[in-house]
Amino acid sequence: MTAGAALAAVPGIGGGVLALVLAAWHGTWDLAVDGQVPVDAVVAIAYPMTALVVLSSSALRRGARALAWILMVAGGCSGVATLSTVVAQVATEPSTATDVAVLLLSSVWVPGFLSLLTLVPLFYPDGLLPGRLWRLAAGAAVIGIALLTLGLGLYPETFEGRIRLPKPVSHLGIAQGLTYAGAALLLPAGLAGVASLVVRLVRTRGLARRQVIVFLAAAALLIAVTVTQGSLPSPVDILAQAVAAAMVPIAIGVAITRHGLYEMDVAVRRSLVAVSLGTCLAGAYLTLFALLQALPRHESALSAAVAAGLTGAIMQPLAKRLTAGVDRMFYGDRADPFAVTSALAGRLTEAGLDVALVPQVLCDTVVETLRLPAARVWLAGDSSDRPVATAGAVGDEPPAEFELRHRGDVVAELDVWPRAGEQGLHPRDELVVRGLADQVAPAVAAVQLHRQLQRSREALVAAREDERLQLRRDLHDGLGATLAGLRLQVETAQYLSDQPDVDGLLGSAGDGVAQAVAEVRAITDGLRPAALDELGLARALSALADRVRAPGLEVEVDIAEHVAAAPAVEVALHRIAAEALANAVRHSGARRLSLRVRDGRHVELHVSDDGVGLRAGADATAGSGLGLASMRQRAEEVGGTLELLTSDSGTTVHALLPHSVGDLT
Amino acid sequence: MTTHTNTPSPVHLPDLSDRPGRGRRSLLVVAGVLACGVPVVFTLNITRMLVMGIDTDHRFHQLTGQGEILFALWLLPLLALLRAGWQGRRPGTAAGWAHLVLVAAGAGCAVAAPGGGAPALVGLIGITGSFVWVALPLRPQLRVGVQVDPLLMPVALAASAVLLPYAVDQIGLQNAATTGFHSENPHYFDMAWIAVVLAAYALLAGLLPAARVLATGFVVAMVWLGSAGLALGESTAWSLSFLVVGVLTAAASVVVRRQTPRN
Repeated sequence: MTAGAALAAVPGIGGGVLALVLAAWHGTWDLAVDGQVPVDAVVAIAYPMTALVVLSSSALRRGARALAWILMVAGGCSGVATLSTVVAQVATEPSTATDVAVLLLSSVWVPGFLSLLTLVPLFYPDGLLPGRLWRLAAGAAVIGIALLTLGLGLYPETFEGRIRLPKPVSHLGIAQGLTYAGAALLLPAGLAGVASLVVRLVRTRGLARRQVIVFLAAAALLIAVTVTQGSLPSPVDILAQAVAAAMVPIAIGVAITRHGLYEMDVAVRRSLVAVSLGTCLAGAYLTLFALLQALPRHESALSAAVAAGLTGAIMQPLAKRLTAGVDRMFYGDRADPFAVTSALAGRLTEAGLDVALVPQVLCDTVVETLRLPAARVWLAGDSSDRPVATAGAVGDEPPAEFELRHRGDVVAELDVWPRAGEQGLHPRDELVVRGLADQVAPAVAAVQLHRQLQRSREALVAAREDERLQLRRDLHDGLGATLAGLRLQVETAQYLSDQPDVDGLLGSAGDGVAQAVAEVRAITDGLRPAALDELGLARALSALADRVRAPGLEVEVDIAEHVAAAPAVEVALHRIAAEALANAVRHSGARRLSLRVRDGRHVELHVSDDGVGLRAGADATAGSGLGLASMRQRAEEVGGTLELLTSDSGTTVHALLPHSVGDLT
Repeated sequence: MTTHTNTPSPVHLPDLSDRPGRGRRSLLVVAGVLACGVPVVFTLNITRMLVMGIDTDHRFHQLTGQGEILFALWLLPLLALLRAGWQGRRPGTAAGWAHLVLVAAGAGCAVAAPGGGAPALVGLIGITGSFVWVALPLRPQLRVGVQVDPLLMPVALAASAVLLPYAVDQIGLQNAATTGFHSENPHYFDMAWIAVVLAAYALLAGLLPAARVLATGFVVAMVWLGSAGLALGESTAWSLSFLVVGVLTAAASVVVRRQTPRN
């Protein structure tokens, strides 16, 4: 920030503050509110401060610098207008100063306020117009502001303060001409300002779009409040306009701090600490001074000295804590790695924490304690193309990658995105994230191991069921058919034989073959429910429901007609449905049972009843937990999940299974 | 009741073992009735006066220090303490500090402006409030970590620079009222009292992460105070200041809340 910028801020900030002090000193608040002093004071103080913050960045581009100067000039004009208004209001007799003040207060507010509705939207956020044609709008705004300023300055009117102050120079005809011309130019310029923001909104994406959105909201509010000025009661209209005017620099501040506008992190942090500390010290001083002044036998000079001394004493520790607080706002607990690791440890040791949640806890901790936008964990050796955990909004920019190592092996990768406006992670962030990664690596290794075991288990189950299916077919179509043919031949031979001994032997052989056929059938049924191959999955499930149907028990069946899945999944679905239906019939005392199967991205099975619920049913019969464990195990074997919802008004078993083993996405 | 479980883990039932016993709860009820009886009666009475238009000259005081704001500052911490005690929980730090601040500020203001029966009122609040603390199964944790908030702290100190001079001004008015209505009804004392309590709320919210929630109460009270002042023709300077401080604190509070990590 140059000395010139600081000097340029004096008319705005100085004028605004001085005007407020003067109004308070003379007790003319009512007049000040009527004279729109709050609105001008907000513009006078807030806009140059915003401009100073922006100009303090060393890496500022030329366009952004121009926009900052527009804000500075707007604030300066408003500062002059505010001070002139209060000077004219508190004056008790006319003078040259009041003549000048009356001239200024009626005109200088125009560049101060109307530039916010025209030039600032046109040049936001980069100080460059959206295109060449937009120069016309900018030119119209500048000329319109100049004409309206002159026109209102020359308009013949008398200012009502404590005394009536006529304008020293005026000319109605010229004033009207200039005012109308200025207004005619400013109206399209204002519309163009809004249009330029909309154009930028359409053209931009990501961060740049968010920078426009936040400003567009504030500008829309200011325009809306300004347009409705006549319809709101006083002083609500003035206060609403002051708040709306304050929203514009706040929006710029949000765009700077949250959405990386101008990439001026350090400058913003320092400014925030400075403003915060300055306000704290001023507040502390005034508070102490007021308290000391309230003491009996007080002396103003002594009170001021003591208040100043005490305020000075707290300055250094307060500055330290405020700096830490601002750092925390921007970077979370980056400066306090112990706090971050403690937070992680606290979450990890929470009672009942599933080890499978560790990657998610890691991501959440990184995002929340370090205020980083997003984090993601990939397990090493995982064939899935999905991360195992994600937190925050993953951006398009390349992330910083951290390997999670356990016993020398990479067990996972942690991707962390830098904050908005930052090119990469700060070394301090890297240090803390590295520490977190090391802390959770053993637990993530356990997750990885668990996943690998689960995959192996799923593969084994799939292979087993495929083998069983093949074996069943071989037995049924091969050995079964052979035995059936043999039995037919034996029976035919027995029919043709006329010797009793031979007949007896053949009859015995036929019985043996029939028993062998029955045994083969029993074996094939044990390998895989026969109904699945004979009826198909949907009808096999429907048959299960038919089997439990009885008087006093209504069974509803709703099964997707063409539901299909891998052999292992079909078996799991069938067994779970059979077990759930049997449990409901045996333990729940239900009057209504429902079996629903949905076929979509996954296969969903719902078995619900209106019985007494799990606890009452479990009390009645031991071993029901085994059935539930079995259902859960069957679901997990094929990579699915099983949930049980129970209450005293019924139980629902909900199984979510993939079409192919392990393919639950 | 619906329980949600993943088999085969057993169904979890709520643990009832840490709930206070019947004796403790009876004690809490007695202390609660004693502590809340007066403010509840006062609240109903002042609300009735506001609705019926009784003593309309004092409507600003009825809406703020003598009435609604004072009763909110008085009752809400008590209710928070009692509720936590009833459930067997440790009451929040914010509730504990809010109640202590109310009593301490009242005592300080009563010493500075002893007219109109203020010491008796504060004594009543202090004694009945102490019953609640005695009856609580667990006391609020008052010694907590300090973490200065860079947004709330400056607003809090700015607020104290507005509120404490206002309190001093009101105490001066109370002490000056040696005859007439305000010599018997310490409305100015009440205004000073709530001003000091609100300043303390703001400072606590700026200093203690565990008491940041007090910023919400502060915002509501300040906006209410400022709006009532503007609407009822009180001093524009004070009213505007209260309103501006309230709005600034609300903005700071929103930012702070959005940035507070989930724990």
